Amino acid sequence: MSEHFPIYIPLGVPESADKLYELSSNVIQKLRNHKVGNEKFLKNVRLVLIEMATNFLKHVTDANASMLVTIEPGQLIICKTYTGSPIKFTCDEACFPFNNIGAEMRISFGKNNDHKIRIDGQYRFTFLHPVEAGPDIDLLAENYGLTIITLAADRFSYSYEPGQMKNEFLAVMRSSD
Amino acid sequence: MNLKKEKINEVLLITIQDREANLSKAEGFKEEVFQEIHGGETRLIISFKNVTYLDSSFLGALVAILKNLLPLKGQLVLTDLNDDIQNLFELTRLDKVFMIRNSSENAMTEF
Repeated sequence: MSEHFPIYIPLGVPESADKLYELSSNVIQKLRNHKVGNEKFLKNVRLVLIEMATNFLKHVTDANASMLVTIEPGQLIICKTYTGSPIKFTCDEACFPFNNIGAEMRISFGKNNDHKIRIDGQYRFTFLHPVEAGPDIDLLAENYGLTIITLAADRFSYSYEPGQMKNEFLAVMRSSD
Repeated sequence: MNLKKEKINEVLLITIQDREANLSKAEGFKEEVFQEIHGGETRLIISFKNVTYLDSSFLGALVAILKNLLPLKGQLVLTDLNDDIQNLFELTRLDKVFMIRNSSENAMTEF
């Protein structure tokens, strides 16, 4: 590739889940045009895009919310930002602002929706490999959005800026070129 | 959601007619299948032969349906998953939880 990086692909906030597949297809076509990644990589990009956007539709009401895809040499970054209260979770060990930087812990977003995280800052953490349910089907999660992003991306993190009330989800995906 | 339902012997074959199985359809789909289960249908095949894409919301609905069936000693088989959907089940390891077959004809032999 002899292009100038980074290349930005801003995305409008979707109005309906029925438009997300088309939105992801448009992004993937642009990535193909820029010769980014192989087919397996593009499949994972679609998963991350759709799940991040679906999460928007479920939880975010900020009119200034936005998504941005950034192509850099060797990697793709999918970023979602919005203003509002920080992400809500329960945890026996800690809460915002974190003070045990570097620690790994388990947080929950609801019944059977547990995730392992690593604390990166007072209001910043990275999702680690999802907590697996046991063999009991009754304990299976019914929410898979964050799990899918965590598994499909190489790194998936969350941060919050209290001053600006800015939430940011960031998925980093290494392309194979 | 647009569903085609066929009763074959004692098995209800539900074919999803929509191309996208997503957030806007997951809840309605779950409720419609719950109604069938509560009406006595406990042997189900769900065919995805017309479905291009399935998201996490729909995945959650399928898990809820499975949980609903198990106390009734029911059975659920998923069929005709394209590569993207199969990939999603494998990524989340739900391919180890659901019975997945390549066609409704093959699924019928499981009952």
